[in-house]
Amino acid sequence: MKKLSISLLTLAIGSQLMLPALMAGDRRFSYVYEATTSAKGEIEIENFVTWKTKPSGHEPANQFDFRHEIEYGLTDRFQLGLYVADWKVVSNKNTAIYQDTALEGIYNLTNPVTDLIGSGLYGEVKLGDQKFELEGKLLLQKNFGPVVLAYNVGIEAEWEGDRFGYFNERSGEFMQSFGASYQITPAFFVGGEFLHEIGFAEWSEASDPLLYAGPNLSYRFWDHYFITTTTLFQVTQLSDEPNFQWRMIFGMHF
Amino acid sequence: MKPVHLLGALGLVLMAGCATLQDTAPTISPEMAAHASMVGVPADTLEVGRRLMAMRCTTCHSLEPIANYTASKWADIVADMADRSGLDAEQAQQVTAYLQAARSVL
Repeated sequence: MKKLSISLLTLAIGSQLMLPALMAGDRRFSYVYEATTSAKGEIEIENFVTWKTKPSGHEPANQFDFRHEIEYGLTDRFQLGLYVADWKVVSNKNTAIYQDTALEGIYNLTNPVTDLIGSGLYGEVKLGDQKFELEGKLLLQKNFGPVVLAYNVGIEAEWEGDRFGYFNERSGEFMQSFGASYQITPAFFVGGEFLHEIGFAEWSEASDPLLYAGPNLSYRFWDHYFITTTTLFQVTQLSDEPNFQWRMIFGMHF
Repeated sequence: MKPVHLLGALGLVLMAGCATLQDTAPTISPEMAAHASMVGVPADTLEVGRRLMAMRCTTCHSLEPIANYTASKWADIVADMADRSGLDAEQAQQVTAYLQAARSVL
Protein backbone atom coordinates (compact mmCIF):
# COMPACT_ATOMS: atom_id res chain seq x y z
CA MET A 1 0.00 0.00 0.00
CA LYS A 2 2.95 2.32 0.62
CA LYS A 3 4.05 1.79 -2.97
CA LEU A 4 0.51 2.68 -4.07
CA SER A 5 0.57 5.88 -2.03
CA ILE A 6 3.92 6.89 -3.51
CA SER A 7 2.57 6.21 -7.00
CA LEU A 8 -0.55 8.25 -6.36
CA LEU A 9 1.50 11.09 -4.92
CA THR A 10 3.80 11.05 -7.93
CA LEU A 11 0.76 11.12 -10.22
CA ALA A 12 -0.77 14.02 -8.33
CA ILE A 13 2.38 16.14 -8.36
CA GLY A 14 3.24 15.21 -11.93
CA SER A 15 -0.19 16.12 -13.23
CA GLN A 16 0.10 19.57 -11.66
CA LEU A 17 3.48 20.26 -13.19
CA MET A 18 2.29 19.38 -16.67
CA LEU A 19 -0.96 21.35 -16.82
CA PRO A 20 -0.98 25.02 -17.86
CA ALA A 21 -2.88 27.58 -15.80
CA LEU A 22 -5.85 29.14 -17.60
CA MET A 23 -8.49 30.52 -15.23
CA ALA A 24 -9.51 31.13 -11.62
CA GLY A 25 -12.23 30.44 -9.00
CA ASP A 26 -11.35 30.13 -5.35
CA ARG A 27 -12.09 29.00 -1.83
CA ARG A 28 -12.44 31.47 1.00
CA PHE A 29 -12.47 28.80 3.71
CA SER A 30 -10.26 25.84 4.61
CA TYR A 31 -12.83 23.71 6.43
CA VAL A 32 -16.21 25.13 5.42
CA TYR A 33 -17.57 24.54 1.93
CA GLU A 34 -19.32 27.29 -0.02
CA ALA A 35 -22.56 26.50 -1.87
CA THR A 36 -21.22 27.52 -5.27
CA THR A 37 -19.51 25.10 -7.65
CA SER A 38 -16.94 25.21 -10.42
CA ALA A 39 -18.16 26.43 -13.80
CA LYS A 40 -18.79 23.83 -16.52
CA GLY A 41 -15.50 22.56 -17.90
CA GLU A 42 -13.38 24.15 -15.18
CA ILE A 43 -10.64 22.04 -13.63
CA GLU A 44 -9.27 22.88 -10.23
CA ILE A 45 -6.49 21.23 -8.29
CA GLU A 46 -6.28 21.68 -4.55
CA ASN A 47 -3.53 20.50 -2.25
CA PHE A 48 -4.28 20.36 1.45
CA VAL A 49 -1.93 20.08 4.39
CA THR A 50 -3.33 19.87 7.92
CA TRP A 51 -1.12 19.96 11.00
CA LYS A 52 -2.66 18.71 14.24
CA THR A 53 -1.10 18.74 17.69
CA LYS A 54 -2.17 16.95 20.84
CA PRO A 55 -1.27 17.84 24.42
CA SER A 56 2.00 16.37 25.74
CA GLY A 57 1.63 12.76 26.78
CA HIS A 58 -0.74 11.92 23.93
CA GLU A 59 0.58 10.05 20.91
CA PRO A 60 1.18 11.08 18.26
CA ALA A 61 2.08 14.59 19.42
CA ASN A 62 2.10 15.90 15.85
CA GLN A 63 0.36 14.68 12.73
CA PHE A 64 0.48 16.04 9.20
CA ASP A 65 -2.37 15.10 6.85
CA PHE A 66 -2.02 15.63 3.12
CA ARG A 67 -4.69 15.61 0.44
CA HIS A 68 -4.53 16.09 -3.31
CA GLU A 69 -7.84 16.82 -5.01
CA ILE A 70 -8.85 17.30 -8.64
CA GLU A 71 -12.21 18.97 -9.21
CA TYR A 72 -14.10 19.22 -12.46
CA GLY A 73 -17.24 21.17 -13.31
CA LEU A 74 -19.51 18.71 -15.11
CA THR A 75 -22.20 21.36 -15.46
CA ASP A 76 -22.54 24.91 -14.14
CA ARG A 77 -24.27 23.39 -11.10
CA PHE A 78 -22.53 20.07 -10.48
CA GLN A 79 -18.89 19.40 -9.77
CA LEU A 80 -17.05 16.18 -9.11
CA GLY A 81 -13.91 15.95 -7.03
CA LEU A 82 -11.43 13.12 -6.75
CA TYR A 83 -9.24 12.93 -3.69
CA VAL A 84 -6.39 11.18 -5.42
CA ALA A 85 -4.71 10.32 -2.15
CA ASP A 86 -5.08 11.19 1.51
CA TRP A 87 -1.92 10.36 3.41
CA LYS A 88 -0.30 11.32 6.67
CA VAL A 89 2.99 11.61 8.49
CA VAL A 90 3.04 11.29 12.28
CA SER A 91 5.79 12.50 14.59
CA ASN A 92 6.79 9.12 15.99
CA LYS A 93 7.04 7.37 12.60
CA ASN A 94 9.39 8.21 9.80
CA THR A 95 7.14 7.16 6.95
CA ALA A 96 4.20 8.40 4.89
CA ILE A 97 1.05 6.38 5.51
CA TYR A 98 -1.61 6.10 2.80
CA GLN A 99 -5.09 6.56 4.24
CA ASP A 100 -7.74 6.63 1.53
CA THR A 101 -9.03 7.83 -1.80
CA ALA A 102 -12.39 9.53 -2.18
CA LEU A 103 -14.96 10.80 -4.65
CA GLU A 104 -16.87 13.97 -3.87
CA GLY A 105 -19.86 15.53 -5.59
CA ILE A 106 -21.38 18.97 -4.98
CA TYR A 107 -24.67 20.04 -6.50
CA ASN A 108 -25.54 23.73 -6.37
CA LEU A 109 -29.26 24.30 -5.72
CA THR A 110 -29.46 28.08 -5.41
CA ASN A 111 -26.96 30.87 -5.95
CA PRO A 112 -26.17 33.33 -3.14
CA VAL A 113 -26.01 36.26 -5.58
CA THR A 114 -29.20 35.65 -7.58
CA ASP A 115 -31.31 33.97 -4.88
CA LEU A 116 -32.20 34.86 -1.31
CA ILE A 117 -29.73 32.29 0.00
CA GLY A 118 -27.23 30.01 -1.68
CA SER A 119 -27.53 26.29 -1.07
CA GLY A 120 -26.01 23.04 -2.23
CA LEU A 121 -25.74 19.34 -1.47
CA TYR A 122 -22.46 17.60 -0.78
CA GLY A 123 -21.82 13.86 -0.97
CA GLU A 124 -18.61 11.92 -0.49
CA VAL A 125 -17.58 8.28 -0.72
CA LYS A 126 -14.21 7.40 0.78
CA LEU A 127 -12.38 4.09 0.59
CA GLY A 128 -9.11 3.14 2.24
CA ASP A 129 -7.33 -0.08 3.08
CA GLN A 130 -8.79 0.05 6.58
CA LYS A 131 -11.99 2.01 6.24
CA PHE A 132 -15.04 2.90 4.18
CA GLU A 133 -16.86 6.15 4.73
CA LEU A 134 -19.99 7.94 3.50
CA GLU A 135 -20.65 11.60 4.13
CA GLY A 136 -23.47 13.97 3.28
CA LYS A 137 -23.85 17.68 3.96
CA LEU A 138 -26.17 20.59 3.34
CA LEU A 139 -24.27 23.71 2.29
CA LEU A 140 -25.74 27.16 2.89
CA GLN A 141 -24.28 30.51 1.96
CA LYS A 142 -25.34 34.12 2.23
CA ASN A 143 -23.44 37.01 0.71
CA PHE A 144 -23.59 40.53 2.10
CA GLY A 145 -21.47 42.50 -0.33
CA PRO A 146 -17.86 41.70 0.59
CA VAL A 147 -18.96 39.45 3.47
CA VAL A 148 -19.69 35.80 2.84
CA LEU A 149 -21.29 33.64 5.51
CA ALA A 150 -21.25 29.88 4.98
CA TYR A 151 -22.77 27.09 7.07
CA ASN A 152 -22.49 23.34 6.61
CA VAL A 153 -24.37 20.63 8.47
CA GLY A 154 -24.03 16.91 7.83
CA ILE A 155 -23.53 13.37 8.96
CA GLU A 156 -20.88 10.79 8.32
CA ALA A 157 -20.93 7.00 8.60
CA GLU A 158 -17.67 5.10 8.86
CA TRP A 159 -16.73 1.43 8.87
CA GLU A 160 -13.22 0.45 9.98
CA GLY A 161 -11.21 -2.74 10.29
CA ASP A 162 -7.70 -4.13 10.49
CA ARG A 163 -7.56 -4.96 6.80
CA PHE A 164 -9.35 -4.25 3.55
CA GLY A 165 -12.82 -5.77 3.32
CA TYR A 166 -13.12 -6.57 7.05
CA PHE A 167 -14.65 -3.39 8.36
CA ASN A 168 -16.19 -4.61 11.61
CA GLU A 169 -16.21 -1.37 13.60
CA ARG A 170 -18.73 1.29 12.78
CA SER A 171 -19.13 4.85 13.93
CA GLY A 172 -20.91 8.02 12.94
CA GLU A 173 -20.48 11.72 13.30
CA PHE A 174 -22.71 14.75 13.29
CA MET A 175 -20.88 17.85 12.16
CA GLN A 176 -21.61 21.46 11.52
CA SER A 177 -19.33 24.29 10.59
CA PHE A 178 -19.64 28.00 10.07
CA GLY A 179 -17.41 30.50 8.36
CA ALA A 180 -17.40 34.26 7.86
CA SER A 181 -15.10 35.93 5.36
CA TYR A 182 -14.58 39.58 4.52
CA GLN A 183 -13.13 40.76 1.22
CA ILE A 184 -10.52 43.43 1.93
CA THR A 185 -9.47 43.56 -1.70
CA PRO A 186 -10.63 41.24 -4.54
CA ALA A 187 -7.47 39.24 -3.84
CA PHE A 188 -7.31 39.22 -0.03
CA PHE A 189 -9.88 37.90 2.45
CA VAL A 190 -9.93 37.57 6.23
CA GLY A 191 -12.41 35.82 8.48
CA GLY A 192 -12.99 33.00 10.88
CA GLU A 193 -14.23 29.42 10.98
CA PHE A 194 -15.96 27.24 13.58
CA LEU A 195 -16.22 23.46 13.67
CA HIS A 196 -18.58 21.46 15.85
CA GLU A 197 -18.54 17.66 15.91
CA ILE A 198 -20.25 14.92 17.90
CA GLY A 199 -19.14 11.33 17.37
CA PHE A 200 -21.35 8.25 17.69
CA ALA A 201 -19.52 5.01 18.47
CA GLU A 202 -21.47 2.07 17.03
CA TRP A 203 -23.91 4.71 15.75
CA SER A 204 -25.47 4.98 19.17
CA GLU A 205 -23.33 6.40 21.94
CA ALA A 206 -22.77 10.14 21.59
CA SER A 207 -19.35 11.47 22.49
CA ASP A 208 -18.72 14.80 24.16
CA PRO A 209 -19.10 17.70 21.72
CA LEU A 210 -15.91 18.95 20.13
CA LEU A 211 -15.65 22.60 19.14
CA TYR A 212 -12.91 24.44 17.29
CA ALA A 213 -12.68 28.11 16.37
CA GLY A 214 -10.06 30.28 14.73
CA PRO A 215 -9.15 32.87 12.11
CA ASN A 216 -8.57 32.37 8.40
CA LEU A 217 -6.92 34.16 5.50
CA SER A 218 -7.25 33.71 1.77
CA TYR A 219 -5.09 35.22 -0.94
CA ARG A 220 -5.37 34.97 -4.76
CA PHE A 221 -2.41 35.64 -7.01
CA TRP A 222 -1.19 35.41 -10.61
CA ASP A 223 -4.82 35.11 -11.81
CA HIS A 224 -4.94 31.34 -11.40
CA TYR A 225 -3.73 30.48 -7.91
CA PHE A 226 -4.90 30.84 -4.34
CA ILE A 227 -3.77 30.02 -0.83
CA THR A 228 -6.28 29.70 1.99
CA THR A 229 -5.22 28.98 5.54
CA THR A 230 -7.05 28.55 8.83
CA THR A 231 -5.78 28.03 12.36
CA LEU A 232 -8.23 26.38 14.72
CA PHE A 233 -8.03 26.09 18.50
CA GLN A 234 -10.04 23.61 20.50
CA VAL A 235 -12.55 25.56 22.56
CA THR A 236 -13.70 22.47 24.43
CA GLN A 237 -11.36 20.60 26.79
CA LEU A 238 -11.19 17.10 25.26
CA SER A 239 -7.65 15.92 25.93
CA ASP A 240 -7.72 13.03 23.46
CA GLU A 241 -8.50 15.35 20.55
CA PRO A 242 -6.00 17.74 18.93
CA ASN A 243 -5.93 21.03 20.81
CA PHE A 244 -4.72 22.86 17.74
CA GLN A 245 -4.96 22.33 14.01
CA TRP A 246 -3.76 24.38 11.08
CA ARG A 247 -4.76 23.83 7.47
CA MET A 248 -3.50 25.36 4.28
CA ILE A 249 -4.96 24.82 0.80
CA PHE A 250 -2.96 25.71 -2.27
CA GLY A 251 -5.21 25.73 -5.32
CA MET A 252 -4.88 26.31 -9.03
CA HIS A 253 -7.44 26.53 -11.85
CA PHE A 254 -7.57 25.59 -15.49
CA MET B 1 -8.69 36.75 25.18
CA LYS B 2 -10.05 33.35 24.13
CA PRO B 3 -10.10 32.60 20.39
CA VAL B 4 -13.88 32.40 20.42
CA HIS B 5 -14.12 35.92 21.86
CA LEU B 6 -11.69 37.18 19.24
CA LEU B 7 -13.82 35.62 16.52
CA GLY B 8 -16.96 37.11 17.99
CA ALA B 9 -15.40 40.57 17.85
CA LEU B 10 -14.28 39.91 14.28
CA GLY B 11 -17.82 38.85 13.38
CA LEU B 12 -19.23 42.13 14.69
CA VAL B 13 -16.73 44.08 12.61
CA LEU B 14 -17.68 42.07 9.53
CA MET B 15 -21.38 42.63 10.10
CA ALA B 16 -20.83 46.36 10.57
CA GLY B 17 -19.31 46.47 7.12
CA CYS B 18 -22.47 45.12 5.52
CA ALA B 19 -24.62 48.22 5.82
CA THR B 20 -23.74 49.82 2.47
CA LEU B 21 -23.26 46.72 0.37
CA GLN B 22 -25.05 45.14 -2.58
CA ASP B 23 -26.18 41.63 -1.67
CA THR B 24 -27.89 40.22 -4.74
CA ALA B 25 -27.70 40.86 -8.46
CA PRO B 26 -30.66 43.03 -9.56
CA THR B 27 -33.45 41.07 -11.24
CA ILE B 28 -34.44 41.99 -14.80
CA SER B 29 -36.93 44.84 -14.53
CA PRO B 30 -39.15 46.14 -17.39
CA GLU B 31 -37.00 49.29 -17.41
CA MET B 32 -33.85 47.24 -17.87
CA ALA B 33 -35.46 45.18 -20.63
CA ALA B 34 -36.65 48.37 -22.37
CA HIS B 35 -33.17 49.86 -22.23
CA ALA B 36 -31.65 46.65 -23.61
CA SER B 37 -34.16 46.45 -26.47
CA MET B 38 -33.22 49.99 -27.51
CA VAL B 39 -29.71 48.75 -28.21
CA GLY B 40 -30.91 45.51 -29.79
CA VAL B 41 -30.42 43.18 -26.85
CA PRO B 42 -33.30 40.77 -26.08
CA ALA B 43 -34.44 40.42 -22.48
CA ASP B 44 -33.49 36.74 -22.26
CA THR B 45 -29.88 37.73 -22.96
CA LEU B 46 -29.98 39.82 -19.79
CA GLU B 47 -31.13 36.81 -17.77
CA VAL B 48 -28.32 34.71 -19.20
CA GLY B 49 -25.85 37.49 -18.37
CA ARG B 50 -27.12 37.70 -14.82
CA ARG B 51 -26.78 33.95 -14.32
CA LEU B 52 -23.30 33.93 -15.84
CA MET B 53 -22.18 36.76 -13.62
CA ALA B 54 -23.36 34.88 -10.54
CA MET B 55 -21.63 31.66 -11.57
CA ARG B 56 -18.41 32.98 -13.09
CA CYS B 57 -17.67 36.27 -11.35
CA THR B 58 -18.95 36.26 -7.80
CA THR B 59 -17.64 32.81 -6.95
CA CYS B 60 -14.19 34.45 -6.81
CA HIS B 61 -14.94 37.91 -5.47
CA SER B 62 -17.82 39.85 -4.03
CA LEU B 63 -20.53 41.53 -6.05
CA GLU B 64 -19.43 45.07 -6.88
CA PRO B 65 -22.15 47.69 -6.50
CA ILE B 66 -23.25 48.26 -10.10
CA ALA B 67 -23.61 52.00 -9.55
CA ASN B 68 -19.88 52.24 -8.84
CA TYR B 69 -18.97 52.24 -12.54
CA THR B 70 -20.32 53.72 -15.75
CA ALA B 71 -21.74 51.52 -18.51
CA SER B 72 -18.59 51.89 -20.62
CA LYS B 73 -16.38 51.11 -17.61
CA TRP B 74 -18.33 47.89 -17.02
CA ALA B 75 -17.57 46.86 -20.60
CA ASP B 76 -13.86 47.42 -19.92
CA ILE B 77 -14.00 45.49 -16.64
CA VAL B 78 -15.74 42.48 -18.17
CA ALA B 79 -13.31 42.47 -21.12
CA ASP B 80 -10.41 42.54 -18.67
CA MET B 81 -11.81 39.74 -16.48
CA ALA B 82 -13.25 37.48 -19.18
CA ASP B 83 -10.23 35.26 -19.56
CA ARG B 84 -9.77 34.82 -15.82
CA SER B 85 -13.40 33.88 -15.34
CA GLY B 86 -13.63 31.53 -18.31
CA LEU B 87 -16.10 33.62 -20.31
CA ASP B 88 -15.98 33.29 -24.08
CA ALA B 89 -16.70 36.32 -26.31
CA GLU B 90 -20.46 35.71 -26.49
CA GLN B 91 -20.75 35.14 -22.74
CA ALA B 92 -18.71 38.28 -22.02
CA GLN B 93 -21.15 40.25 -24.20
CA GLN B 94 -24.10 38.78 -22.30
CA VAL B 95 -22.60 39.74 -18.92
CA THR B 96 -21.77 43.21 -20.21
CA ALA B 97 -25.31 43.65 -21.57
CA TYR B 98 -26.78 42.72 -18.19
CA LEU B 99 -24.49 45.05 -16.24
CA GLN B 100 -25.10 47.95 -18.62
CA ALA B 101 -28.86 47.44 -18.50
CA ALA B 102 -28.75 47.31 -14.68
CA ARG B 103 -26.59 50.44 -14.61
CA SER B 104 -28.97 52.29 -16.91
CA VAL B 105 -31.80 52.24 -14.36
CA LEU B 106 -29.74 53.40 -11.38
